[in-house]
Amino acid sequence: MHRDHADDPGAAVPTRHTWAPAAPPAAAAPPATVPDPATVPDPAAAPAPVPAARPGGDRRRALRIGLGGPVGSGKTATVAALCRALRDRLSIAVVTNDIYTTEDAEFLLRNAVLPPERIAAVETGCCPHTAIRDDISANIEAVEELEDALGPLDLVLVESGGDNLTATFSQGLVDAQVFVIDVSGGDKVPRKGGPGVSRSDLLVVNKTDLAPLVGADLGVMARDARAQRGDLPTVFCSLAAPDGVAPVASWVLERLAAWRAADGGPGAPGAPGPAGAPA
Amino acid sequence: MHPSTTRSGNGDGGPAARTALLLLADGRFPAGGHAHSGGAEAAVHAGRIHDTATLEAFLTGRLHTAGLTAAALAAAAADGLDPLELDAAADARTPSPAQRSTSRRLGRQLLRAARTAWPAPALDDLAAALPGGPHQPVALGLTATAAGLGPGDAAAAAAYESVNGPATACVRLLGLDPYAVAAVLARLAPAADRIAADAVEAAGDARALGPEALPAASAPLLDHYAEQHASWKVRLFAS
Repeated sequence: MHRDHADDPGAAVPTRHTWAPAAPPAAAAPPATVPDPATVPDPAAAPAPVPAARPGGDRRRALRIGLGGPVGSGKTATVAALCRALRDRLSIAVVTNDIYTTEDAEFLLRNAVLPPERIAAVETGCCPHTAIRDDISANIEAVEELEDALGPLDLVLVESGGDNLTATFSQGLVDAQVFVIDVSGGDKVPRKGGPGVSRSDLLVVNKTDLAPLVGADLGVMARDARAQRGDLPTVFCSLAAPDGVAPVASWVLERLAAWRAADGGPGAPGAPGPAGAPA
Repeated sequence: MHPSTTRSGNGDGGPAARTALLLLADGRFPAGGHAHSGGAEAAVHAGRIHDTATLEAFLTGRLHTAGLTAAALAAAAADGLDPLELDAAADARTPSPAQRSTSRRLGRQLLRAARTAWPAPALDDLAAALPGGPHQPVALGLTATAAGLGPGDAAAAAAYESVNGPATACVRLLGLDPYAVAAVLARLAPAADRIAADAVEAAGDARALGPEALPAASAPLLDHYAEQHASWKVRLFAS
């Protein structure tokens, strides 16, 4: 098991949502220190963003954004930074898809980016890409349980387990997706392409501060990303820097405004509803 | 689906429904099963499954216990018995709280897929009556009906699922030769067919005598594993 995030033995164990642990359904929200999962209650710059059609005709639910990318590229750090940047203005919840533990959810809890009841962990049976693309039922349930438990939300972030360059989110699960790579994975990654790099709604190239240390050429990465992605946006950032997540947060807010405009909501009063397909 | 071909004879769906059965039993049907090992992950951890032969022994046991019980519940549900009574019967036949939770969650995930694939008032009613999710075999039986299938099909799907899921999980967990595992499943196919036939017969008994007539075969070690597995902090499968 990997323990690359700072550890804190006193941290809460997040509730897992693909299974209902042995606990009475009447039990309340996850307490701050519950060590035994068996007793944890079962709760779950570029072109203007295109307003997404709302699947299933549900015009009230939150905007759902997926974050995918290879292991270690900074998905969880991006989620944490987004929560810190946006939690005071938006009602946010997070679903994590760890490969074999609840580590990412625990990291979010330990760093207190959101209250425990706003974070749910889904288990993926060795196949993180299956849970976000082919059989999304456990993730959908986790998202809906969060919405049911917390009331109307503005934004749900669904973080995939670290996977490969072919992993993408189903349109049935998220409204838009971010693919996070980092410069230390090599500056050839954008050139290699794959669905995540070429089709994600936003490509984030993280850890730009490491570029000189690993000999990565950001100019090459930007050029290759443009070749792969056409007009789809790419941002370069260093989450280690103060407010390093700002370009991603701005993009999320643009998407949210477009989402709200889609049904004439508060994001853009009077905006016409969309008739098109999801972005 | 012509009604006369779907519920005829021994309860098997007619030829018109064969493809629906294939779709329902396909491991890629998006009903949540891919994240579950049916106790295989715990058995691997305990050293009881470590190669193809031990996998075959595990699957044989699972088929004749949990598989039979699930198949009979599914057949009875497809045969029109009261789904809420069958749901209570499934509870009574599932001593492990972790397994009960898993079964209900998988039942709810199956209903989500089924209500889109084969919309039917019976599925909506079941979802409304049991918002936490019906037991998976009950959901499977009603799904079969909605898909134009019969009790024999529902039982066959349940029996097949009872071995296919754990077998696939072991390919992932142990890196077993996928051809050898496919051969195990092929060897088990006649036994799975017999289990399905027994399940249909039991469902017929239950129509006359009530759900008490359904088999209650259990595997105490599987129950035990389920409870252990639910307490693990690090695991690959949800159950």
